[in-house]
Formats: sequence, C-alpha cells, structure tokens
Amino acid sequence: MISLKKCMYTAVAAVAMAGVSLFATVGAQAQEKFPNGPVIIQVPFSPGGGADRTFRLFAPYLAEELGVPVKVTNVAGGGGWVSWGQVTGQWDGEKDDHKLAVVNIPHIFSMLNPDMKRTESLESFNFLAWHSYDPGLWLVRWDDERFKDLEGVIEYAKETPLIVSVGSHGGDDHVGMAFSQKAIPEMKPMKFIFSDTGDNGKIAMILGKNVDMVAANVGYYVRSIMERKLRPIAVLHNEPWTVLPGVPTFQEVVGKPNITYAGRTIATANGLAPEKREIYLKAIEAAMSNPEYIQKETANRNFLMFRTGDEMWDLLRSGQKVAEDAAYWEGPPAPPKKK
Amino acid sequence: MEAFSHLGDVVSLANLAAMLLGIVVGLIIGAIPGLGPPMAIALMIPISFTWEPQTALIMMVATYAAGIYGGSFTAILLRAPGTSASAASAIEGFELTKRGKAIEAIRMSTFASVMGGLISGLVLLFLAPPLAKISLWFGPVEFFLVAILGLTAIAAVSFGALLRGLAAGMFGLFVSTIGVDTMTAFPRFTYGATGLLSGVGVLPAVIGLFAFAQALTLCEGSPHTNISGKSKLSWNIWPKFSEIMHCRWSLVRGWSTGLVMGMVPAAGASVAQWIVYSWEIQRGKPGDQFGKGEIKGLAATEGSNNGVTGTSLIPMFVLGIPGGISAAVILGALMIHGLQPGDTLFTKNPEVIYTVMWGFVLANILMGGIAAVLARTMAYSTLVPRGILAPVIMIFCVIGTFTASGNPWDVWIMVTFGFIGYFAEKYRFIPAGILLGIILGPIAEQGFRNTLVLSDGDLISYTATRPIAIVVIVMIIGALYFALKPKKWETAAETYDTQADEYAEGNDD
Repeated sequence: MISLKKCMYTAVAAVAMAGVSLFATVGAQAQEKFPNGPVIIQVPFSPGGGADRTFRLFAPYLAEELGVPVKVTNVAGGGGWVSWGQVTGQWDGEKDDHKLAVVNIPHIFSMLNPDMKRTESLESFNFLAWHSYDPGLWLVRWDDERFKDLEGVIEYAKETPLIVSVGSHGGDDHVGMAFSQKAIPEMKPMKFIFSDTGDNGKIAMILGKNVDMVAANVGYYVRSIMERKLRPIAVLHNEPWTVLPGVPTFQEVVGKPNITYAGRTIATANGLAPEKREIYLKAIEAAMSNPEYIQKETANRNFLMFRTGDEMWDLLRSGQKVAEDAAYWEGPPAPPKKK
Repeated sequence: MEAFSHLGDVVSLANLAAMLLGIVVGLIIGAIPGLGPPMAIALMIPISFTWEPQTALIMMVATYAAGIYGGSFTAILLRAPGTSASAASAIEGFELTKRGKAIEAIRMSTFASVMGGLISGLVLLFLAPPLAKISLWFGPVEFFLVAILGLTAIAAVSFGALLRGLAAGMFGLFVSTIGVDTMTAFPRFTYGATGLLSGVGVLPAVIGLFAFAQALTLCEGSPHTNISGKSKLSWNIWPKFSEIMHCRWSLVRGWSTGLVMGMVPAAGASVAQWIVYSWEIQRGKPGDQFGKGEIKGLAATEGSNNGVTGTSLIPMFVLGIPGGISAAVILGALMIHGLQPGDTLFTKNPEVIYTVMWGFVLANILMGGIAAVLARTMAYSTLVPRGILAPVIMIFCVIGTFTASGNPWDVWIMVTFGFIGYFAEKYRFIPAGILLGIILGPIAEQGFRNTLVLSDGDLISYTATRPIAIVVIVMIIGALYFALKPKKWETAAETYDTQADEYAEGNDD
C-alpha cells in the first residue's frame, strides 16, 4: 500500500524535477538567445554633444530590433581616447559582447600625430558599420563682398594670410585646410582660430567678423545658409553634395581632390563571435532603415550612411590617407621660392 | 504684442506637468555634486521627442533654471556645491550654516534665485532680438579680458592673505594647462597618461576642492556632533521684508551682473558669481562679515547665477549660438523637434518660442514654491551627525564625478583635489583661487593666443579698435584698485556691527 506520505514525497520530487528541467530549458534558451541582456552604446564624449545626441536618438530603434534595452553611456576624455583605449585594449570578445562603441572619424587619426604617442592603428578596432557621414564645407559671411566664390578666396589668400575658424586641432576641418595649403602652396600660411566650443564658437567667430572663413561640415550649417547668414563656397566631397547641389567641390575648382568629412562608426570588442557580429549588423541596418529614425536624424541634420565590410574599410583607409597626406602636425609647408 | 498672445498656451495640463517634472528633476539633479543640468537635459531628449515641441522645451528650460538653483542647496548646507555655478555661494552660505543660520541662508538664496530667474526670463521674453547681437561683440580679446576680470576676484576672495591667494590662483592656472593643447595638439604635462589628455575638468576640481575636502574636514570633529550645532530648524522659509531691504543693493548687483554675463558666450554663471562676489567684498561696509558668513555676499552670488539663466538663452534662440553647455543641449533638442533657431523661429513658430519663454518665467515662480518644501527637507542634513554625513558626501562625490564623464580618471582627479582643497583651506591657500584659475585659465589662454593670431602680434593697436575690450580693461583697473585699497569692513572687523548682528541673529524659531 502506498502511503500518503510517500505520495506526497513523490509529488514534491516530480514538481521539483519539472521545475529544475524547466529552469534548465529556459536557461539554455536564454544562453542561446543573443543578446540576452541590455546592450550598451559607449559614446566617447560628454552628454549633450552631437555624437551623444545621435546615439540617444538611435538607441530605442536599435533596442526594437535587438529585442533588449539599449543604453547609452558616456566615457569622455582624451579627445575620445579614454573610451577607445578601453575598446581596443580592455574589451574582451566574450565578456564584453553586450557593448558597442562609437568611433569618430577623423578624430581617431590623432593616433598618427607622433606627439600623441599612440600605439593603435585602424586594425586595432573591430569596426562593425559606418553610421553617419557629413562632408566638409567652407563658408563665408553672406554679405562679405570680398569673396564671390572659392576662386576669390584663393586669390585673396595668395596676397593676405587667410584667417579661418576651425574646430579642434587635427579634426576634419583642420585636416581639410592643411590639405588645401599643401595643394595650393602659393597661398600664404593660413591662420587658424580653434574653437573649443565646437560649431557654435565657429559661427560666433565668423558672424562677429573676427575671421574670413569657417571650415565646417554641411549638417550643422544648413540653417545658417537658409537664413542667409553664411554663404557656402566649397564642399569637400568627390561630387556635389545632394543637400547643396549648387555648391562646387574643391576638386572642381582647384583640380585636386580634397575629401574630408566627419563620420561616426560603430565598433565592438575584438574577438567577438562572428554570429554575434552578424546579429548586431542586421539590427543596426534595420534600425537605420526605420523611416521614423531617418526623419528624426534629418531634423537633427545628421546624414545617415550605412556601410559595412570592404566599403566601410575603403572609407576608413581613404580617411587615414588624407590625414597622413595633410600631416597637420608638421605645420604649413615652406612657401615656394621665387625664381 | 505677440508675446502676450501666447501667455495662455503655457497653462495647458501637459505644459504644467512637464514644467513641474523639470523643476523637481532640476532641483534634485542640481543638488547632487556632478549631476548638473546639461546631463539631465540630454537624458530628456529621447524621452520627449514624441511630445509637442513646446512641452518638451518647457521641461528642459525648467530643469535648467531649477538645476542652477538646486546646486546652491548643498553649497550652502554642506559646502558641497552641486554645480560649478554655485561654488561662490559655498563660501558665505556654509559659514552661515556653521553659525546655525542655514534656513536664513536658504531663504535668501531662494528669493535671490527666483527673482533673478524671473527678471532674466522677462528680459528673454521681451528683449531677446535686440540684445542677441551683443554676444557677437565678444571676440578672442574680449574673452581674454573677461577672464582676467574674473581672475581679479582672487584678490577679493583671499581675505587679506593676498600672496597665498595669488599662489593658489597660479596653481590653478598651471593645472588648467594640463592636457592636449587645443592649438597645437601637443599633450602638456600628461606624462603618457591617457586620462590626463583632456586635462583637469572643472567638475572634478570643484567637487574635490569643495565637497570632498569638506567631507574630510567633517572627519576631524566628533562623529556625534552636527554642522550647525542646532537640534531643530526654523519653519520660516520666506525672507522677511527687512532681510530683503538689508540686501537690496547686493541683490540688484547680483541680478544685473547675471543678466549681462549671461550674454557673454562661454562665461555664464561660473564667472558671473565670482565677479559679483568680488564686487560685493569691495563695497562692504563696516561690520560686514565677508568670509565668515555675510548674507549680502550670498544674496549677490545667488542672484547672479540665476540671473544668467534667461539671458544665456537669448543668443541661442535668436542666433543659434548657445551661451553655455545647457543652452547648447537645449539647442540640440530644438533642432530634433524640427525647429530652426534664428530670426525665423520668431516669425514661423511664435507659438512655440513664446510659449517656451513664458514657460521659463512661470517655472521660476513655481520653483520658489517647490523649493520652499524641498529646502527645508534638505536643511535637515545639517542636523545629521558628522559621522554619517562625511561618508555620505564622499559617496555622492565619487558617484557624481563618475556619472558625469564615465571616466575613472576623473574620480582620482576629484579625490586628489579633495586633499589639495582640504590642506589649502587649512593653510589658507584659498581653494576658490585654485578653482578660479582652473575655470578661467583656458578661456584666458585661448583668448590671448587667438588675439595674437588676429592682431599679428600688435596687441595694443588691435585692442584699441575694440570698444568692449576697452570697457573691460577699465573695469579690470577699477577692480584691481579697489582690491588693493584697504576695505572699510576689514578695518572695522573687530568692532562687530550691531545692526548686522541683530540681522544675523534673526528669528530662528
């Protein structure tokens, strides 16, 4: 006869076993599913800046695709290198598989400056995808009668040193100007006013008539052009940019290419498993195609450009080539000797 | 007038709810060292991008105004300023707290801040377009000279220990040169450390020099005693008419300095408070207790840092050039909502811009009411035993510093400056002088070097063509003259003025 006590033991044991097996199944499923927890996007600058704004806008759309929450964290400092140092040197493909990093181009090319004593190269990063692209743009005051167009600026610069407001030393604005100085050696060495308050400082400098020209990127300046405060004279791209179809490229006017831009890419930890990488790539591509997100970024004047694989690497290497050729850390070239 | 036609729009349920949320978040975030308004506003962008633009922006401007004021709570009560904009208030404010007058200090701070924000908001509402162009008159030479004017405050805050104050200022200026040089990209004094490439930030420095150093000082006393030496607090949170009259001119000086400095890009609240504090010290009367808890000093600094808030939004709304970091973040939000700052904002979207401006004005009024409740609650921290308070402050310092940048180096920098601040205070090397050097050093250096570029080395001829620069030079000469002249209140410091005494005693219960 089976006692009630035995029955109860058996029932309890069965329930316990069922619980354990259910738990194990769920656990195994959770392990199989990737990502299985919140994903972090690490922005290398402080909250409130352009990169921070863009990826805070992006996070909910990426979360929708990945099926897990996406959080933005800021690791600022060292012109981005506090964050990038962690990404290349500390992040582990297994332990840090839920982390993504924003890598700004051409900011990382500051590693080429010997003074920075950086040991990284492009290959130190595990790039996933290119996210946004904003070509260089040169502008003068709308009512500045000295300069009709880029040719007028170049002629002026051959006689008088041009004073240009640029962002940080070694940033894309500065690289583009340094490149043009090498391309047109007849121009007197330019003078740079560096802005540590970004585009806002540059706009204040040119509207306050402290400088002749501002070197910047298209996105942020569309409104100044629409308000007829600043006049675009050249775009630093291989062909006219869609947003400003009437503005010539540097190459069209000078005959030599000068392609500089501000770009944002997404990287991950070195050693990340290929299948996890594929999951991220698909989610990033899908999120970047979301019409609502595209609309938000259009209002934010940020031009989205999804590139991956060879296309992305071609862009990265061409960016590095421009920075190397400009070699801004060497200063302006010696003026040509008169015969 | 166009502005009045949108007054009614601000009182919709959604706008009022957003305003309240912004005020509460601002007051709390501002009070925690490290978590300032820019971070709070940045976090609000993705939350609010499906809202009506005016509702989202009202929440942000309310957070900005309340955040600046909230920073003063901990500055006054614990000598732990929540933001760099309230560092000057920590000096007189905390001395008043030590004398058991925390509630008097808080109520004066509330009045000065609310009225300062209100006046600044009205200036923003009615005078924005004509005033906007003033910000364009400031070029590199003016930035350099404004920074020098700010540095003259070191003489005032040294309270007689001029040489030590100058040494502290020089140390601060030296510290400000650490990091990658913006003009050559050369890493200065970094010794290969990545964490030092961006230099010593103002935030870790101010938290260390004031808040962490204060926690160390609290460790000195008996763990069972509290800061104020009191066991209960007054309920009277609204300032009396006599108190306002006693500080009336200090308040006017604070508000007016804030209004003007708000329009100077990159200067803002961090500089305005020091300029007006030094002005107050120089104008002190016999019996004034500057450096030992003078309510007039606090009224001026608190009036100035909120006086900045409205006018710093003027160049942002009209020209698209924000005067400070918070304004820059609000500008980003404006663009994400599809609005273009500039002249067209006033012609194409008047319903948005004027509603937001009215929202800012109303937020300052509501802030006073909410602050009255919150301030009293926070004032209880002065009754907490030191043994509990000191470690709590230290924990907040570490969390706040790390959250602000996510950079572990900043935490070590903050702790280092905590010890520097502790010993500097002990040996009267004036922590405020160090902070002034760190804040103003980069503005002065970059302004000077850019002026050299623009003037081709001929500084004098170039400066002579800049009227604003000449005005600032005259102000610097005046500030130095008064700084070196013996002050009436210092010579009479021994004879304690009965009127001030009566005032300071106040009605505690």
